[in-house]
Amino acid sequence: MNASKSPEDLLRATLRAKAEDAHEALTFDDVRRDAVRRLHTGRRATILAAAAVVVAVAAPTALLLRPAGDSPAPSPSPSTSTTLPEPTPTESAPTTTEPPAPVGTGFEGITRGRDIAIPWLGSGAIHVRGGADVPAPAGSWEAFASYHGGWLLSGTGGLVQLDGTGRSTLVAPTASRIAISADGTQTAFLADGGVHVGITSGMGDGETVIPVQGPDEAGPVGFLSSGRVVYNGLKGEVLVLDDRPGSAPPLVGLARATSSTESGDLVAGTTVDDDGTAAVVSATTGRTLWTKAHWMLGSFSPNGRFLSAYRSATGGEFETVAILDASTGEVVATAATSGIRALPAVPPTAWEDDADLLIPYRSGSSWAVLRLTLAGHLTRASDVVESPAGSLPFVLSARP
Amino acid sequence: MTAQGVQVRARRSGSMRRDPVVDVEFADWMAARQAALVRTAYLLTGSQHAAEDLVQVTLTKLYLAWDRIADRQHVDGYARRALVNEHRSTWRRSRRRPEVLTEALPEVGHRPAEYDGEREAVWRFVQALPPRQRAVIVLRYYEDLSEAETADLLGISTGTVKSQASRALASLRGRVRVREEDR
Repeated sequence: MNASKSPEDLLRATLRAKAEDAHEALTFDDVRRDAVRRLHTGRRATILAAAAVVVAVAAPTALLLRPAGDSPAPSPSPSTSTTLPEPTPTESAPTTTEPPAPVGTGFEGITRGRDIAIPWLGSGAIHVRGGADVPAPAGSWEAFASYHGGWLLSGTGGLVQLDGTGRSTLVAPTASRIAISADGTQTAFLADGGVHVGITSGMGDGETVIPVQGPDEAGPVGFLSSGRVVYNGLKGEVLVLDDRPGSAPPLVGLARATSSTESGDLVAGTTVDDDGTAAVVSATTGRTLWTKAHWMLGSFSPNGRFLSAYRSATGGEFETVAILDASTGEVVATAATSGIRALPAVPPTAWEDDADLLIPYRSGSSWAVLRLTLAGHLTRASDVVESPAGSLPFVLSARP
Repeated sequence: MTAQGVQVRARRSGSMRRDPVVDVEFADWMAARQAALVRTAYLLTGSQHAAEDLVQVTLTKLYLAWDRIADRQHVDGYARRALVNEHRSTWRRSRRRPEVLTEALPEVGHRPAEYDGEREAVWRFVQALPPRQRAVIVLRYYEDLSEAETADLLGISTGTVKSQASRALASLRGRVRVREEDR
């Protein structure tokens, strides 16, 4: 080493020299073709499986009456991991007699149950049970929810707000999480450098904007009691926002949040940025209730008692989806059984109600939404559809 | 409306109907800036192939957003941010184990029997750094960004930028000194 060179100088010289080894190889036509492909087929499946956008769903109004504390309401007796499929009739058991999944799709043996009860987006339309389909703009959407009589859609093309007729009223360049309060009356999303907090059915009234700074992946995660918003901040901090300027204390114990619930003011996330160690923290006391290695947490059930979660021992595709007890982290039910073990789940999942979790699954180019109950029953909530690589044929609504 | 310093025009998403003038404008910008993006991507990823993939994804996203970017003065910065964000997303997706920021950096490998040049040794050292720490080094010592700018791009604190850079420099300093003593 030249004695006159500092490590900084040596690094600069090396990086500049090595950078010259790189050469440009793309043409404008390459980029344009890729853009057309993305618009038509969406992102690659590997990107979809990475849970770029996790939708937060919180607990119902009734539970807001509980005093805030470390724990949500007591859970019913949790079972341990279960075996599937269970054709035994239950509240969520099959109600239709549609034919089984086609042989070779990977979904054989999973009994067809009732249809998806919450709105979902796919095949270029928003589907609402009992209602007419609403055409959706082209794009690779990863999250959506009803808002102001219309819809919010978020994905690789950014965030779009549609009115009830499907006309776009807001376009933001970056994707945002869509956070919804427990009772479904408040929604928060990131657009134009601020967190928009609005009355879900307000038809344009009552929306406030809290100015924030954030990278592309930042954004609101969910609500706590008193209307506070959990937000992934710019500096790897989880912040709790309210409408008072400058009041955004960081939440100790989490580097990144994935969901929150007003029930007990709990926040789920990771202890170190994306390191695969999940944790649930009380926003009231700052106490970490539990941690769980190699898991990624999803959303709380509407009553706040349960939490969807994905496990990946390898850091790759998620080998199972489970329902955890939100207060202890114990597995209540899991889809990791012989029938579905080999198939990757593709988040985000969505709670249909307090006891039923909807999970999009992929098997090669075949996709279906499966329903996992607290009792561990697994049924198919959709037909098995074929979808080109990279597209996401089922995007479930953020709200039960 | 503004977001991250970029002016945005409302439009319906998903259309590929483009004003030819816009395409020409993007193609001109791409011709002028692709080389710089590829160089940075190469340093971040360590391979030409991965750099091409990273730049292609970045340029495609930028192209799709092009007619919503009214403030062309900020395009270069927007592109760099998109590149870094995409790289960050890639390493997060592909990470198989937690990225642990350690005082003791990973060994580059067995020392070659014959010293193969100072810069190659430094380059191997850079490539052996964890992705985020490597990004800190590239942004600080190749892009010459400030600590605050680096922190902003990576979504981490300036303290983390300082600590990661200083650990890397300390390790590099010690490692090169060993090599000098061996000569």
